[in-house]
Amino acid sequence: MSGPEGEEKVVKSELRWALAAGAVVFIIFAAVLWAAITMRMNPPSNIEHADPATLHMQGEFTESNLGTTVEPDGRVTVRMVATQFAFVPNCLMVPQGREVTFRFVSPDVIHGILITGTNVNTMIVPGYVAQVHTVFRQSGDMLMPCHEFCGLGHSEMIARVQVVPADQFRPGPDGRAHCEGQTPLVNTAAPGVPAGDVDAGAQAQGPLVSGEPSPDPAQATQDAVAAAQPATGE
Amino acid sequence: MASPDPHNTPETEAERRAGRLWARTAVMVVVGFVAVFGVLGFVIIPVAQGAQAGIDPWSAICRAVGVSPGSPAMRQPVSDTPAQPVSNVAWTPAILNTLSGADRATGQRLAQEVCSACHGESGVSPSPNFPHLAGQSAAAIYKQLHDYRSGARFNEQMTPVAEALSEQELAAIAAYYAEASDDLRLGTRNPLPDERLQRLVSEGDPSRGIPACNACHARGAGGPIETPMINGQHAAYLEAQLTAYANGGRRNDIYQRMRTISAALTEQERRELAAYYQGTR
Ligand code: HEC
Ligand code: HEC
Ligand SMILES: [Cu+2]
Repeated sequence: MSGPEGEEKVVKSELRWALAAGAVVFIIFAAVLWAAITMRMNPPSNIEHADPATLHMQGEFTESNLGTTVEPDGRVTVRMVATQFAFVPNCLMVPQGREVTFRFVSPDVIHGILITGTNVNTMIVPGYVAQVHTVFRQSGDMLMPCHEFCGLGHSEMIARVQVVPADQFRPGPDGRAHCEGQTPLVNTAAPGVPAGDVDAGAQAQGPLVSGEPSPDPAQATQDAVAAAQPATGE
Repeated sequence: MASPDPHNTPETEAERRAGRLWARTAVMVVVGFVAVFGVLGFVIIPVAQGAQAGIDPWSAICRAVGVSPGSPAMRQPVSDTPAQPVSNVAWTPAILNTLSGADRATGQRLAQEVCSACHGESGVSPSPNFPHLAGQSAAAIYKQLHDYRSGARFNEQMTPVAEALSEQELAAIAAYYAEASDDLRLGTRNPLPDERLQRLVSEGDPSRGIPACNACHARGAGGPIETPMINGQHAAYLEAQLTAYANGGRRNDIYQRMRTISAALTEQERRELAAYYQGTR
């Protein structure tokens, strides 16, 4: 390839490819835009500090405020502490088909959670609040293991999430909801597993879910990582 | 050899002008791109999302930029719950410094004057009614003394003792007892051999959500800093504490760590574990 004609050809071909690449970029941006407006999808933006040393002395993450709360405006908020080597509380009750906001903190090291059968998945970094918005599409008992190695007791760090149909979700007058068979706050002597509990020994067999398996049991948006969140209200 | 080297041909004026044009166009494209998507990402999208969720435009922009917490597309939950700490000990750098710089000599004097009557010479307690303190970690002793003093943990004998001491004195005593005796050091004695308990102690029981005791209670295990050494401790004391955790009589463990675990154990297991950890002389 030599001479001015050869060069012109090269320039033309470069332009064509540049246009093609530009078109791909624009299609991707258009998709991002579409998702942002219609599905409320966001890039990471939640920067919320929580001092790990004084977490247990702050109102929001004080023991008695942990767990599921229905706020006066009807929204469901779950607050949870991930600590070596347990989740507090270690069982959560949440309604199916309603918007649920999870707020996680850690007073010690990095932990992580995922709720089996859903796309709820986040790291919990000490110093920050990890927040996830989701809607559970199917009811049943799900397991929520810690998925970030956090020390010697990591493998026993598992919580349960009981997703109940919205009409069976009956929070108390204070707006709090607890798992069946779970005493809020202080555990009175209750050796062994209360009746009706999930046999956590079955965890190797995967999530314990009832009803028809759906390919999309929950869609989560996370303030820390973008994911899909269809705008569904109650 | 005959053709001239293309890199050495002098640039014509026209070529130079074309080059400048390219450079300018490229800069404009990049700047335009950043500007358009900056406005889209930080202004238009958050404002549009905020409008759907009932968030005012300015807050939506602040959230998108990351200066205020929350997502521009979701209302942020609020909580005005008053703090109800089960313990007022916070492991801030200031407290850790106080502990590491504490005056052992003062600690020793106070220990001999006040504590030795019950907890024995150098923290080795002859009576099972009083726990050993020798070799206990300074953080554990400090946390418990602080909790007795603040009322988070109550004991008729210990509470008045702790209430009479200052913060500095607590730290000094804690630092002294951590190194007090070579005779008995909590955390160094061998537990009783027992295969079944050994599993619970070193592997836990996933079916009941019980983590291995040694994930926290072994020296240097890496659990919470205030975790006390329990091997070598009097069995009667350990059992009493486990029972108190299980029935809510003692609730100064931050985030219910021990209350949850102890409530999942049977009464028999609590007794056996206490004896196991006391070990053999
Ligand atoms: C009158 C007797 C008495 C005196 C004096 C006394 N203690 Fe105690 N101490 C006890 C008893 C009894 C317990 C167990 C309390 C319980 O069951 O809650 C205890 C428990 C403790 C504990 C908790 C141990 C653990 O493993 O959780 C610490 C720490 C402690 N004492 C430190 C001290 C120090 C330091 C002093 C001196 C300043 C002191 N005690 C003086 C009787 C005493
Ligand atoms: C997650 C870490 C962790 C695990 C696992 C754990 N503990 Fe503890 N344990 C603690 C902490 C922290 C404390 C001190 C709590 C406080 O501040 O009162 C404690 C306190 C105790 C005490 C009271 C000791 C004293 O001196 O007062 C006993 C007894 C005890 N644990 C036994 C056990 C047994 C038995 C197991 C296993 C079945 C176990 N622990 C598992 C963290 C743990
Ligand atoms: Cu973890």
